[in-house]
Amino acid sequence: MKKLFAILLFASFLFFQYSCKPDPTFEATTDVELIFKGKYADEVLMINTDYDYDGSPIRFDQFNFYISNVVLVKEIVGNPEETELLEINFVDLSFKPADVDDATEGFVITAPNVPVGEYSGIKINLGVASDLNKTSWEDYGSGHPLRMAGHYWSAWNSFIFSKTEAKIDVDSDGSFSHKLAYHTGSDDAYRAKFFAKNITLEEDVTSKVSFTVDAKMIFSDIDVMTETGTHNINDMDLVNEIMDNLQDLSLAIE
Amino acid sequence: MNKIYFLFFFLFLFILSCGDDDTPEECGVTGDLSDIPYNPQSFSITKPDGFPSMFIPADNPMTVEGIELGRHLFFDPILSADSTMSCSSCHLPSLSFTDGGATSVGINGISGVRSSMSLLNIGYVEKGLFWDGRSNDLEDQAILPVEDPIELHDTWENVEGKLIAHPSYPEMFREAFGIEDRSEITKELAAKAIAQFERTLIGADSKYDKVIFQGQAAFTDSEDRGMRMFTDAQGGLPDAECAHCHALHLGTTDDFFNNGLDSVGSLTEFIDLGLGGVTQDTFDNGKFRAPTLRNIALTAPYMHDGRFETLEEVIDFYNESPNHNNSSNVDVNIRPLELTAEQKQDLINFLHTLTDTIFTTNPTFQSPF
Repeated sequence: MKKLFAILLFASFLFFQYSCKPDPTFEATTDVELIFKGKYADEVLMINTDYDYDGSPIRFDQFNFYISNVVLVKEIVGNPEETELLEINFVDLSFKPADVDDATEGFVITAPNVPVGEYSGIKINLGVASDLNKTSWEDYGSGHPLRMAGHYWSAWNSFIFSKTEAKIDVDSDGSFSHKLAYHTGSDDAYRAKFFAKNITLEEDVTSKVSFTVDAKMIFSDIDVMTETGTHNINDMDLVNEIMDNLQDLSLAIE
Repeated sequence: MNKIYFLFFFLFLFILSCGDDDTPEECGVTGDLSDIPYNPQSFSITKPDGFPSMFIPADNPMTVEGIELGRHLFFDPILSADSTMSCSSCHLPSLSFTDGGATSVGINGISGVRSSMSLLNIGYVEKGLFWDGRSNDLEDQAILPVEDPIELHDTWENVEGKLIAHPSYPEMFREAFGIEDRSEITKELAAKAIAQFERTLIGADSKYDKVIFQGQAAFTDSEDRGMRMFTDAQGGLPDAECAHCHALHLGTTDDFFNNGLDSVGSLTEFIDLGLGGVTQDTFDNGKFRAPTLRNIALTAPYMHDGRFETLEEVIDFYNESPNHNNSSNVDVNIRPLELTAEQKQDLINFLHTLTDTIFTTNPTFQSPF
C-alpha cells in the first residue's frame, strides 16, 4: 500500500512539474500603429476650417467613427488566418486648426503585442459589431472607447457609428446656416472593408499602417440641400448610403 | 487650594497666548492625534439602473468617515472668510443643489456671472466641471471656490488654520485620512472629503426611473409623446433634438456646446467665453457644459447665466431659435423645431418626469448642523 502511495505521489509530482512549465515557444511580437489621416479632397481635414463644396464654403464641426474587429490577414485565398489588432476603437478626426500638426500626422491607434511575420492584408469593420452593439455606453468603465453618452442613441438601441457634422454657407454671405448632421448606427449600418497589402512585422520594430479618410466623399450622391440629417430610425436609407460612402469611397489605405 | 490657583493661572496664560495673529503652531494647535482610532469603513457606490460605473480616484477611496467629514465641510461656513457662507449656500439640497438665482452671490455681495450648477449625479461627470470645464475632477473643483473673491473669498491658509484649531475637525480628519497630527490638515484633504461627499449625491428615483427601470409607473400620453420627441424615437412626431446634448439616462452627455444663446459677429465677441476661456481656443468660445436635465424642474432659472425663468421660456427659445445661425460654432443640431403648443407642453411634461424629490429630501444629503 505504501509503495502504491509512493508511486502515485511521484506520478502526481511529475504531472504537476511538467504541466506547469511555461510554453517553450515564445512568440515574438511588436506594436502596430494604425494611422488615420483625415482630408477633404486634397486638403488636411480640420474642424472650423473652410473648404469648398460645389462652390460654397463648408466647415466641419466633427467627423468621427468607430472601428471594430481590426485584423491582419495572412492568406487572401484559401483559409485566411486572422490576427486581431483591436476589438473596438474610436477614430476622431475632429482636429482643431490649432492642432494642424496633429491633423497632418493623423489619429494614431496603437495595437500592442502583435505577432511578427508576413501578412497579406488588413480588415477593418466600420461601426460597432453586433455583439457589442447590444450593450450600452454605461456598461463600460472610464476610458473605454464605448463609454461615450454622446455616441449612444437610446431610441436606436445602438451606438452612433459615425458622426459627420458640418455647415455650409450656401449664400456665401458669411453665415453658415445650412446645417448637416449625419449620425449613423444600428446593426444594418455595420460595414467591413478589406485591404490587400503586404505588411511585414519585425520584432520590436513598430510598424505603421496608414489610411486616409476623405470627408468630402461622405457626401457622394447625397443631396445635402434636402437630406440634412439622420437621427431617426426611419432615415436608414440615408444611414446606409453614408456608411457605404465611408466604406467604399472615403476610407483608403496609403 | 494653592494648586487650584496655580491651575487657573496657567489656564489664563494659555487663553492669553492664543491671539488672532498667532500661527496654529504658536497657538498650540499642533497636537498628536494618534490615540484616536483610524479604522475607516469602505463605502461602495450602488449603481442605479441605466447609470455607468463611477470613477473613483485611487488616491481618494470612498469611506464612511471621509463622506461624513465632507458633508460637514460642505455645509460649514467655516470655509468662508467671514463665516457666513458655505458650499451649501449656493447648492441647496431642496433645489437639487442649486440656489434658485440667475447668478450666485458671494460673501461680499458680489454677483458672479454664472448660475449655480446642480450637483445631482455630479460624480459621473468626467469631461470637466463647472460650466466651462476648468476643473478635471471634484478634488480640483472643491479647492477653487474658497479663494474665489466672488464666492467664499478666504485663503486656504486661513481655512486650514481654522480647521486645525477647531474642536472636532482634527478628529474627523484623523478618522477619515489617518493623519497623525492636526497640523497635517491640508486643503487637499479637505477637498478630498468634499469630493467624497459629492460623489454620494446620486439621484435615480424619478418617475422616469420608475417607468423605464422599475415598472412601478406609466407615462401619461403626453409624457410619452414628450419622451419620443426628446429622443426622436419614432417618426410621426417632430425631433426636438434634445438628446444630442442631454442623453438619457443621466440627462447629459457632459459635452460642451454653443447652443446659440448669443448672436455674435465673430467668435471673439462672446461676453462670457465659457470653455474657450479655459482652452484658449476661439472655436470653444461660447460653449458651456450641458447640465443634467434630471431635476430640471427644480433648478430654475436656466442656462449658464440664468436668463430664462421657466422651462416654457427654454422650450420657446429652442423652438424658435432666432439667432442660432450667426455664430460659426453653434451646434448643428440647434435648428428651428416647429413644435406646436401641445408638443411643447408634451416636452415639458416629460421633463417633469425627471424630478426626483427623494434625492432632494435624502437625509444623508442634508446639513449635519
